[in-house]
Amino acid sequence: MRKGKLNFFGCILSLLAIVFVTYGQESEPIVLPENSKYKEPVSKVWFNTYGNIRIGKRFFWDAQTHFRFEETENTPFIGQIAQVYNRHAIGYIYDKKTNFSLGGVVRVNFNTDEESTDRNVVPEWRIWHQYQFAMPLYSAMLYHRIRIEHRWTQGFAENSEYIFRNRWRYMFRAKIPLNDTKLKPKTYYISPEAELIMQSGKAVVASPMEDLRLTTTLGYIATPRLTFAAGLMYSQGQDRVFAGDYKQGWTLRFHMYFSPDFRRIKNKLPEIHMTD
Amino acid sequence: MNRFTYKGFTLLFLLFCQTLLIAQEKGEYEGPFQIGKYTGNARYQYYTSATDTVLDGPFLFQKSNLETLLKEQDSSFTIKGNFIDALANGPWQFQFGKYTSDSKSEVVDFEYRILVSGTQEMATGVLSEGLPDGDWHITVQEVENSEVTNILFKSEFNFEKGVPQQSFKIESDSSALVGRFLRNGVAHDAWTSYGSNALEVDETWYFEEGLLQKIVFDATGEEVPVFDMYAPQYEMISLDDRFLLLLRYNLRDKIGQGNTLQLLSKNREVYQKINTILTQLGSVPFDTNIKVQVPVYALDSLQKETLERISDNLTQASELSKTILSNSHLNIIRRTDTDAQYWYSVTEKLVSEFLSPLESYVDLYQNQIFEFVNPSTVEGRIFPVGIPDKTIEVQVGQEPFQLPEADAFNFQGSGLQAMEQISVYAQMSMEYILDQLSNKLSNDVQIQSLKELENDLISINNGIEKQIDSLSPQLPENYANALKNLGETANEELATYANISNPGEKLSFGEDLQSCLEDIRSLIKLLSNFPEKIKEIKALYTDDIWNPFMATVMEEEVKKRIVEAYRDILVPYFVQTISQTGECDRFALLREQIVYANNRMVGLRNEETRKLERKLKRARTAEEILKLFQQQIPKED
Repeated sequence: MRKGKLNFFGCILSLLAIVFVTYGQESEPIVLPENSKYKEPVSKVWFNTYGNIRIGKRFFWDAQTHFRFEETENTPFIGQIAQVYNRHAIGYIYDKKTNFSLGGVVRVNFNTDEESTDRNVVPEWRIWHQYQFAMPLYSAMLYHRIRIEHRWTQGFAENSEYIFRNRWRYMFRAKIPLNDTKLKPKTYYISPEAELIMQSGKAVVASPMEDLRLTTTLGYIATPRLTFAAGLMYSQGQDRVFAGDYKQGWTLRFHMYFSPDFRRIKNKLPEIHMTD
Repeated sequence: MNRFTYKGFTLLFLLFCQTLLIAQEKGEYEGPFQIGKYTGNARYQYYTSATDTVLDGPFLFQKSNLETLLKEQDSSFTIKGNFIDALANGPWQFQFGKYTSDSKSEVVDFEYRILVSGTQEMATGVLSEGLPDGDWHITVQEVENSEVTNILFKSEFNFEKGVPQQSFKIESDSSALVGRFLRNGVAHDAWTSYGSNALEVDETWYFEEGLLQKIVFDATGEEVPVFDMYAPQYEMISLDDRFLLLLRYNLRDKIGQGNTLQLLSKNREVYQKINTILTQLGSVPFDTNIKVQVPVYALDSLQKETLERISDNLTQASELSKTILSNSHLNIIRRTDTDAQYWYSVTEKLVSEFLSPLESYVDLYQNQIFEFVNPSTVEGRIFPVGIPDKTIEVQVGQEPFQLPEADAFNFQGSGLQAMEQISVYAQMSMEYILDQLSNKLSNDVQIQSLKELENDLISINNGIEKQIDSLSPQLPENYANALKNLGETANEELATYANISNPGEKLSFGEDLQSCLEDIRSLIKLLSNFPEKIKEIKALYTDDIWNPFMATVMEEEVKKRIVEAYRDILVPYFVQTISQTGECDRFALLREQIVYANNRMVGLRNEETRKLERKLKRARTAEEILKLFQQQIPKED
């Protein structure tokens, strides 16, 4: 196991090394207005699946696929598909309350501007790592999540260059059981959460606050391996280029969380007790 | 663009690194462990493959207990080595000690040392893919106050990939044996054993390519031929227990003269000890692998069947003889009753003239060395005073015994057939004698037995009534009804028993009733235990699942269909059937079914049961479920 840990951190180190390789980037003229301006909120609907597939005593495969819709001129409210989002990682369970993940994201961005004659679909790449800590509090659980992403994006215009940015995300979330004293099967829970996403990089000049997301979800734990949740999110953040403009959004979110364990009974033994 | 390709590869490479790590994940176990009779603490590494735990990496298993050492005697052991893919590999050490201490201690540097006395057995050597390779040393030493005072046993072999090479040496405190092999491990040339003063040759075994031709005893100069040098066929076998038995058979009284056989037996014993441990850990058998040749006198299938029948006849006859000779009542009356005495003596004669010799004959077969024994001499060996006579003389003046149909038997003729005739004759004679004695055995015995039986019946029934009274109020109504039915049935059966007047009939009915009441008693226990059992099984079929999204541990019911089949169909069926049945035969069956179902529920928990669960979906009745439980066969690990 010791060797495993070393290699794990080795990978993170080499990753960080890659991150600091910088890119030449054409500078863009930036004009800051007198006052900031809040744009009209945009409505979105997200369908998210979260898979957590156990592949070893301490390892799991984090597999998330999200379908994100955004309103357009012609189809308000639910809108058209804006992003298909594939997030994968190998996670390491440090103990029952702490885990780490490292992996990649491929996001497919669809052009939702119906007037645009640019490309309809462009890919976006990310390397991400995440550190998650849980804390019990009375009957509820509190979660802190630090997620760092290294992100390569490009615009819809033909031959547009990739822009490299780092994203710094912190999320605080609580899950409070409603009809029981514990988060266990057949329990409804309410989950308020707040996430701040900051960004940095050569292309980010005056717009470090990419997004602030405030969400409340209502969830239902169907079985120990399956949970459903739905909620509403308000978000706001600076436009990357026109830093004085603040985008706003209202998002309906539907989530399915599943965590199968295909290991054979014998391989699950001897049972891990981790550190408790 | 190149830059992005590079990034892409790095990302892939990093993910790959992680995957490799997972594939090689090795477990380490540290904690209590048991191999056969050895229990202690082990530390080992393993990985899991399909359904198996495969030992891989260093292995250490040991036990020593200071407390028991100081109190009485401690049996300690240390087993240390290495596995590669389940096979023992690399240097190994086995150490077994049996120590006592008179609580004398010394302080050396910063350690307390307790002086021990006893014996220590130590084996060291290298194993390559489970097979001994290179030198193997096994010693048994006598230790007194922590100092070696005497070497009780010492064995030195040299192996190449499991095949013994060149020569070996086995010593005890009073003798030593030296011998050599051909390159393929076959015993060859002279194996010499020396007496206590190490200079004086004791005996020499002469092998020729594995065939032990003769043994020369130096003290008397006697030369004993061992195996037939002109047998039609030979077979190469291991120098194992069979060979040692065969030698004992061939050498007979000469056996006591030399020490070779004892040394070889002792060596076999110490190798077996290690073999047991290694094979139970999953490695291949560990043995000296010495090869020897023995003559084979092959048997055809008919001859084997005949031998099987002889063995059966002998078993039956021996049982009957024991019944007669150990009957205490007969032993008393034979002192005054001449008739009883007569049959008793005939039985004794039959045992000594027929059964005991046949037993050594059957032993050869059961020890699988019959085919190595020269058939032309075996009868002479077994019946040294000749084939027994059908007419058995008991005492002068008394008529000798002969089975009425004695003329139908022919003790002459070819070996096996004659032996079968003798065995059948012995068995039929025993039956005949028992028949003659039966009325002497019965009457008095019956009355005594009835008395004891009745006491038993009453005490069991009292127990049943008490149980029902105390359990009924705590149980649901349908359970209480079932209990009531059991109590009523017991009383009815007892009434029937009381109305029987013929003592013989009464005894046999009473014996059946006794087992019936025992069944009722255990049914009461099983029945009243159901609510508790259901809880137990529910707990057994509940897993603690760690939910990664909530970071909490949740309980999950597993194999629900099996639990439901038990709780919703089997248990109600048992309760219902018990409350409606009034027959003893059914009780025994029900008891067996309940015990079976209870045990099976425990067993099924850790078996692969997907198929069974699918089939259970369609099963509606208890019979179907029990049948499905029986069909589910646990996978061999």
